[in-house]
Amino acid sequence: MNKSAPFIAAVAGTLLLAAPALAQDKLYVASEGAKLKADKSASSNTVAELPIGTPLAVHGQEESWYKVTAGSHSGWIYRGKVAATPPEVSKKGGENLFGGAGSSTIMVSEADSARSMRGLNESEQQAAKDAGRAPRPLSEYKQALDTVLAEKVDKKELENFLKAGRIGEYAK
Amino acid sequence: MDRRIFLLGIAATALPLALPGSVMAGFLDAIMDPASKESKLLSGAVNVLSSSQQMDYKSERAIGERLAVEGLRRYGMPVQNKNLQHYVNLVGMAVATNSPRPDIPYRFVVVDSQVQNAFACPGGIVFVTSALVGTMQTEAQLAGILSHEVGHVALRHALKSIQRAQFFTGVGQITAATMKGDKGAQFENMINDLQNVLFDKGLDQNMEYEADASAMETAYRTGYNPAGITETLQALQKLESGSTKKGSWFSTHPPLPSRIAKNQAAMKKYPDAMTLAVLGDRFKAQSK
Repeated sequence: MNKSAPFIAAVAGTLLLAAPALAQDKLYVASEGAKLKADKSASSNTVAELPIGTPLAVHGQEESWYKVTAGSHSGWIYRGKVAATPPEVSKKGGENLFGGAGSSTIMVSEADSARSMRGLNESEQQAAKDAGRAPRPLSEYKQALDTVLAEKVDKKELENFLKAGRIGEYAK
Repeated sequence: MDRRIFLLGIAATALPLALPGSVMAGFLDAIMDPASKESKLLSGAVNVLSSSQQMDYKSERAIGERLAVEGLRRYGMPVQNKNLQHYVNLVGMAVATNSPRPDIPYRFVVVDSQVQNAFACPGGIVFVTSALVGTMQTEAQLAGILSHEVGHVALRHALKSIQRAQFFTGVGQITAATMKGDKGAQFENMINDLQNVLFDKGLDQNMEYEADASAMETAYRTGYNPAGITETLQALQKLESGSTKKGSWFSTHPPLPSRIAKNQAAMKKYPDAMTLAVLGDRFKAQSK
């Protein structure tokens, strides 16, 4: 059986990675924050923001843009935002790409901390010994993880970042 | 469906109820307390880790956070440079937007370590060491490495590795009746197995090739030159002979020459790659 699992994974991977073929007359929105533009330029008006999975009827391609219809809207979409198949939806995602990651949930509650810390500290003590420093308490790692999770990027800032770097649809 | 997998599914379904809390140690104490939030999250995870169903995101993220703490412990604390951390998150989010799994909140962190490596925890927390950032020259190279790690998360590679590992170490033969007593420690082994995969042994070679292909596609879709990942691998190849092996990219990833060759062959899919963003200057300014 385990021969088939990698095979299936490979096939699934291939489907996910498949670059949109030019002859395709149907594509799907495959990126977060995909915009349907009035013209084949990122600076043209935004006709609609299209959610992931939106089916697109393709009428043509010019440069890096597809001319498409999505429901009642028509316009242009950058080639990097579409795929031949819609991406798999995360089960009970709950969050979206730009959502807050919150603080860590796996960390133990106060009542359990003493017992749990002992387990972590055993390995931490070895690591600290190897590195020639005093062991850190568990709270420092939790705090560090929460700092990482609190780092946030919003849509507008990301758009400005791509514009400033002339990346993708902002190349021209 | 394979019969052994089927049995494993049944065994695991019974696991959360059959396990006495006293056999668990460390973090798993909280997880195995049937009343705890962690337990509720992970009772779903056990089922799914052991069957072909897909795990729900919250369980996946909870496991990832547990591993992220271990990653900080093993590699180092986040680099104290807000500008750099934010920049890496911007590049990471830019590629995550166009990845095969664009609907979960990724986070990217540079950790203070002289070991050359990057790794991803299930659920979307991606680590890159300060040494590896120091090896890179351009934003497209950073985008390539982050896309590779996002690819592992998107394709759920670490969790798939554990499904296989469990199967091969015979955990699949456990039944509800034998899950009492010290057999319950097998549950904790799952987390240990994941640590072993992420930090010591590395993922399956084919998963690395798959993540490279995914990285090139994701970088290209975003608008970066997809050669970035390969350029970074080439830089690593130059460093390999004089570098620390333990816990590094060299010990947790397949041989560089075969990956570089495969990636170079894949570049023909991207005939306009040379026209895409590279951003050496912005990278140099931001990564200081």
